[in-house]
Amino acid sequence: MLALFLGPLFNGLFTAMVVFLFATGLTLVFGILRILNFAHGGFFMIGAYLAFSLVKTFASDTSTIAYILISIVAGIVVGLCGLVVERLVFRPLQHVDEAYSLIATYALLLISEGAVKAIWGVSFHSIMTPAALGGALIAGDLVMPVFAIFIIGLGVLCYSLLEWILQHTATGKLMKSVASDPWMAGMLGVNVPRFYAWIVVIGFFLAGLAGGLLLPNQTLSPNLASVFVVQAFGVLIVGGMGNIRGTFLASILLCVIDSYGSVIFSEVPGVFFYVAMAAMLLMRPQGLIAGARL
Amino acid sequence: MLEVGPLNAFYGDSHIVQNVTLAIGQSEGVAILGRNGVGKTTLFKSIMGGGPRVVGPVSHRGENITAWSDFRRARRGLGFVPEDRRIYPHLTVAENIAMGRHAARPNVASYSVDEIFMLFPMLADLRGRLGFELSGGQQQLLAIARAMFARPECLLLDEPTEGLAPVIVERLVHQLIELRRKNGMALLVAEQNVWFARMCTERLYLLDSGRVVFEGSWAAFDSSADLQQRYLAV
Repeated sequence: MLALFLGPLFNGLFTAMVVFLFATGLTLVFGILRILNFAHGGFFMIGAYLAFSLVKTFASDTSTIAYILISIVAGIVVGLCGLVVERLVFRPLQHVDEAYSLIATYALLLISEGAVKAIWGVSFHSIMTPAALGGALIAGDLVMPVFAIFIIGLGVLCYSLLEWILQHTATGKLMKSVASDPWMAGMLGVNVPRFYAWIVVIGFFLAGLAGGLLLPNQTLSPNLASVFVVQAFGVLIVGGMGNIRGTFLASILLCVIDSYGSVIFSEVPGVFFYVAMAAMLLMRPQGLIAGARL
Repeated sequence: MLEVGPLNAFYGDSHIVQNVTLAIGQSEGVAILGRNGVGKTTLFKSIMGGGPRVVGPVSHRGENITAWSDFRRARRGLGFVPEDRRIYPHLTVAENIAMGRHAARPNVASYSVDEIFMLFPMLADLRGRLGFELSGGQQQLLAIARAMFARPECLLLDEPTEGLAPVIVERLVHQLIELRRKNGMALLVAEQNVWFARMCTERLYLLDSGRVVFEGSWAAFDSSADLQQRYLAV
């Protein structure tokens, strides 16, 4: 009975947090720079491949600590890629039409896919879930994999941390201010270009970190870049275009609806994400959290 | 202290500011007068590096700052209050004032938020109020307080009296006279309200269709009777 009613909820929450972890960096960059970064998935994938190589080189037995540290290292390396991307691609795009940034970041996605093929090849890879995160908790007939519980906790932790930074710290308030009126910030002496560079580095760090953290759950192939992109854009839009809280709520809403939908109408799995997205956009075209940036 | 021009400013193909030359000395009060759309705002944004394409020099203390980005000009002591005030709606009054800290200059101590509240007692009572909860007059005062935070050498006020009740305008005049007296700060103010401009400056430039059509003291302005009629009457 539990599995029937709560199973889809659990699975939906798990998918939601996977999508959310993927989409945080995307939301941050879009919320502040208004650049829709198609290449986000590409750099997520690079993070995953880096973590894979690090695991193969240094940590054959993959303890949980090693897995988290390796993910952070992958995040830092991808964050440094972000520094280069910001200087070469994003900064020149600040002063031109948005259509150019879509084309440029799409090109960047193709380049990152090409780079992955050149460095790691096209064959499929995977790693074992760290031993401590293997297995499952069982309640009645409901089976909850420990790794899924871990990811749900991680998603909630990541959201809480970002929300706390945005609402209660000087840095967060400055982020919201620059996001809502960058021109005035410049007039008041804020070095807006350097601020943007930091945001891109953090956005890319989050992409790489998510790549590492979600690695045990993924099959590594050069297609990984596009696996979450559509869902991530979906939650970004339904959430209210660049709002962390909106992205978090939209991830949960859409993924849980999709999870129940896929159980009830099992012949069309995965369709209900898009049905729910279309319905939400008809009911609240401005998004869940409208108006507020971040 | 601040020398501008001959300066030309463009938005796209529109040539908004045409060969304008102006200078403002240390602690001086100067008004830019003119009707709506003569290029006052564009001129200010050109001085601050905030938008239009600018051809022609802007120099500050003898250094050419034409190619400098906006934030560096702010950090050099140019405090700007735009016409639309641009108060941050999600920040409190105190937090809005503290945004001014980013323009702090290397050798000049900024005010503290409490000192700003002593200069602007009206804002002290609103300290915890959010930006979007303020009236137009309160927002104007807050925008000036925010620009004052880093003790600018020159304050640029774009149409400060726009949309304010006469009694508030009067209070603003006293406030500005007081601030200039205390700080030895220069003031460049763009206005349509002649009375207000006269009260807080010593001389003026009159703009029409992007060009300077008169410059001089208020006495000289008054002696050419037709100026006001020709260039300012609605």
